[in-house]
Amino acid sequence: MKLINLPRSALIWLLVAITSVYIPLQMQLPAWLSLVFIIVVGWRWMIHLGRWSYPSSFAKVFVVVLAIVAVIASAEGRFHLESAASFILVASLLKVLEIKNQRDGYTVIFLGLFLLAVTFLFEQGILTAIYSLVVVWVLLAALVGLHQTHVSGQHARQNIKQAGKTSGQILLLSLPIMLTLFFLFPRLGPLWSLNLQSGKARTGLSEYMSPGDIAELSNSDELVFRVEFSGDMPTPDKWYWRGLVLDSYHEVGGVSRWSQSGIFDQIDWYPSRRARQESSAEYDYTIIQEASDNKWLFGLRGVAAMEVGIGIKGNDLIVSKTELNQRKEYKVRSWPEMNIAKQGLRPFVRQQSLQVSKVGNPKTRQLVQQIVQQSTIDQSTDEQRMEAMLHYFNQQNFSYTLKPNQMRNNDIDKFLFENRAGFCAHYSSSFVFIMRLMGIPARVVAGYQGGELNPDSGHITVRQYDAHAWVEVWLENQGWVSVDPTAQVAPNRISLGLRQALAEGEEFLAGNNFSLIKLSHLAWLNGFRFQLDQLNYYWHQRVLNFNKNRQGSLLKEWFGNGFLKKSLYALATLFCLLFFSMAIMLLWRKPVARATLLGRTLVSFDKKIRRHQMQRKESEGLGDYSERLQLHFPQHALSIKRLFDQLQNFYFAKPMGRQFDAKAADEKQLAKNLLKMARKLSTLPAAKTALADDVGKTD
Amino acid sequence: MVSQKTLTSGLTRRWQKWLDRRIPEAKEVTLNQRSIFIIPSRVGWLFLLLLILLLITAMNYQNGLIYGLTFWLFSVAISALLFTYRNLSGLKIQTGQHINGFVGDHIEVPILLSDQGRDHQALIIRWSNKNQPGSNAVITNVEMGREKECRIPFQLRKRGRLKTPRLRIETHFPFGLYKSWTWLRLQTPGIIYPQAIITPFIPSQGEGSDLASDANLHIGNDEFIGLRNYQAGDSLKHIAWKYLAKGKGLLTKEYDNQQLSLQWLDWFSLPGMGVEERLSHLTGWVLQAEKEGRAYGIKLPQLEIKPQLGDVHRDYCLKQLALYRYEAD
Repeated sequence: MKLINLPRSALIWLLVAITSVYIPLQMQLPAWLSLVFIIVVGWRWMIHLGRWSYPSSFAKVFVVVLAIVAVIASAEGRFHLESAASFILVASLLKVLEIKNQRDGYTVIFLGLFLLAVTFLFEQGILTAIYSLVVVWVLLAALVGLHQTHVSGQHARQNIKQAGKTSGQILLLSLPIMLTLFFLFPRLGPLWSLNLQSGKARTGLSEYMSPGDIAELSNSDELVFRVEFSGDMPTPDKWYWRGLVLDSYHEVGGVSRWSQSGIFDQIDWYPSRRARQESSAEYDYTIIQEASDNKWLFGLRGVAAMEVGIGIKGNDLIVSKTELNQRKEYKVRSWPEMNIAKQGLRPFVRQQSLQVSKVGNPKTRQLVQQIVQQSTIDQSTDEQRMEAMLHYFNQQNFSYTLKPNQMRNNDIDKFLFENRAGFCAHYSSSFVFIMRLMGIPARVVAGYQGGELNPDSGHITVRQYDAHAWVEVWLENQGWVSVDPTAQVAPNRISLGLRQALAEGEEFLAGNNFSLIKLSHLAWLNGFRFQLDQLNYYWHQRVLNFNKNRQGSLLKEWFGNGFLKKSLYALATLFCLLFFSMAIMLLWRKPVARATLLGRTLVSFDKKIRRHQMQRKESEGLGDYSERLQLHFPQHALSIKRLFDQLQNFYFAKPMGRQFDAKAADEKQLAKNLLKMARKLSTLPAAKTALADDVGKTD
Repeated sequence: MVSQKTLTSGLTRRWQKWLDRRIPEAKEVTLNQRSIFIIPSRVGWLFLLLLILLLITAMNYQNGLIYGLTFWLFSVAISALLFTYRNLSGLKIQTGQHINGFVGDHIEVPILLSDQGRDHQALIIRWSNKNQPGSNAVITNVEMGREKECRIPFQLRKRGRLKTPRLRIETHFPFGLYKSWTWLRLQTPGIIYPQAIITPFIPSQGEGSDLASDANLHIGNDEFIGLRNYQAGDSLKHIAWKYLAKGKGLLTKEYDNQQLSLQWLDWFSLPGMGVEERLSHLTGWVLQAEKEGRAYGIKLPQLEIKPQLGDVHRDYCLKQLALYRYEAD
């Protein structure tokens, strides 16, 4: 293999390519890599300019070891997606530093293509996709650059342009085949499920909830899931997306902590034997949930699993069989009005739903005792006591805030009797605590409430700041009933969302300065945000979620039964068709321009008088030829001269001002005359060859 | 039993025969599907490996964008096949200029590349023969509608008619995923003279001296007597360049008709030498005699060239020496 040194144009493309690959990755990877990146690219450019030299082999070994140590150190002993990506990136950067020939160029470009794929593991939005189009174009242009001829100076610029053009041309031409493959290439499930995952802690609900936890989520505008209803949509105040039921109470360091008890861990997988049949209002909807690394899914109250791989738990929650390491789209059906466990609680459920600590929070216990003892006739039932407690929150000057004071030791006491300012977690936590003290089964439900309705597409976008905690209480003859104590304090939180519920002076999305949502009071910007969101929604729904199932249903729609075989035939046929039409397009050559009428006539003129050996010589002008003919055929000299003068006039006459038709007619006439002349000359006896040669020579 | 060697040489011969039928010797070739070969290069296989890796990643992560990237790169690789092929297809290659030289000379074989239809980029041109200086591959672009002359370095090895090995024109453009090439058997007219060995003249033996007196040659080199019309065969040294420059035609200066020194270059005066060695000596003498302005004749078995002087005579003699008992392979 020849080692061709890199031309300047190739190096420029390569450096641009590696930079464009790095930019989106830089957000995911440790910050020190940026420094390495700038040093390496700068250094390589200085080498090109001849100011610096290549690193010595000692320096190279040193840098490699240093880089490996740094990657391992920043991975903190765990091998995850980020550390793998850092590793590949460092490798390609070090290769960039020592790009000398074509082969190094290949290495960098192939690593770049792989890194681009790694970028997609982190981010798949439509903007990322559009940006990657550019990256692919640049990477392929760099590949073209590796194969161009060495040139210098002015031509180098031309080479750069040429490489970009070729790359773009090929990418565009390849689109039809790419789309064919995208739709028809059989999609398979994962080959193995052990995948390297992102090491970043995801924001989102956790399995434990202490008062104050959810407030942290309210600073994030990260997408959690999108919902689209097919058919009717419940009113926004019913948008309680249940995610977790926290029914186990503990105190950790004097702070209450709610978690899942584990009594509902038995899962009824779809297709269920106990399919729910309800007469109340039914809602069908599709949820596209972002990766959460957890198994729990979201749904409204009264939920039912609608597809394989999803099951339902006894506490009315749906879960996925596998952890959501990727975005997941699933169908859900709900009857929000249905009665749950109306006929009574099983003993262990009841016991778990009443479980509470024996000691602590004395003031609260006192309050409960007061209420129970003072209970009048209209507070004798559980429901009435619950209503009384909700009333208590409403009347006692409680307020809603994202930044409550820290509460340690007997935190429920401190909240109820000192601070009286808190977030949904405080309200739900203390409410369930009180209910349980009163002997009413109750549990905390964590999930999201509300969401933003996109007016254009009609889907609902739920973000982290929509995180919410509320309460379910079990009442005689009603079963589990949803209650939201926060609504008593901040009704705006439920009806309008977090932003409207926040008190004057509290910042929405604090520390998230670049969020477009923050600027939603600017109408045009908000419109733009909605459009982008809609676009992204369609992108996710139509393109990114085009998986095995979707392909199956689409192909079935197209090809009917036996679609798998038929689709493979279609794939092969389309592929060949596209390939051959591309071949024809690329390899088609314009046929050589047909000679003009006069040109052809002159050739036949030559042929006719071949006997006289007076063919027109190559590059002999009409004037010279005419003179030669006149000398050879003195008896016809005059008519020859006239004919050839006309010919010359025809060729050199300015075409302006002359009708095209007239010119064509002239041409025909001249051709006719030429042939006539040829016939006349051909009848003459042939002169001696020597003479002909002589005449030829004098010319 | 057929030994390995005869088997492979038999295969090579059949391969060469097939190739000769497929791409016959010609002065001018326009490349088409008959003459262009294309296979994936090593980089191409590596690229395929990358694609498989990407496909597995896409499947395992169920990632639509990686699927898209994989399919796009795959279809790019398919298009690249056509682009690489197109980079040779339609290219016209011409030779024609006579090339003469001596064995051992490093010459450059001029080749004209052109195409009226499209541009061709980064063509790597070299001889397919490994013995030729292969590292001196010429890399060139051909612009549409413009003839491009390439000079391919070549070392003359064997006396006789010039026969160049197959010319390999190769391209990896645009992505290096494929290697497309052609092997052309180009007619390169030319004579390779024996290598000249310069040694003192050895007088001809036997009847040589008699012949010399019979020669009766009228080519002098002493005293200028006048001008006459140029005749084919006159030495260039005797042309009246000044007159030519003034536009008075080609004239030869005539000198006093004096008995010139005459030299017979005789095959038989070099006993005990091989054919090639003798020819080399004779070649050296021809050059020497021409330089000194002596008329010379050559005696070879079954061939005798009458003494003369001048470039035409010299070229004729050299050609006879080059083609003496020459058998083309």
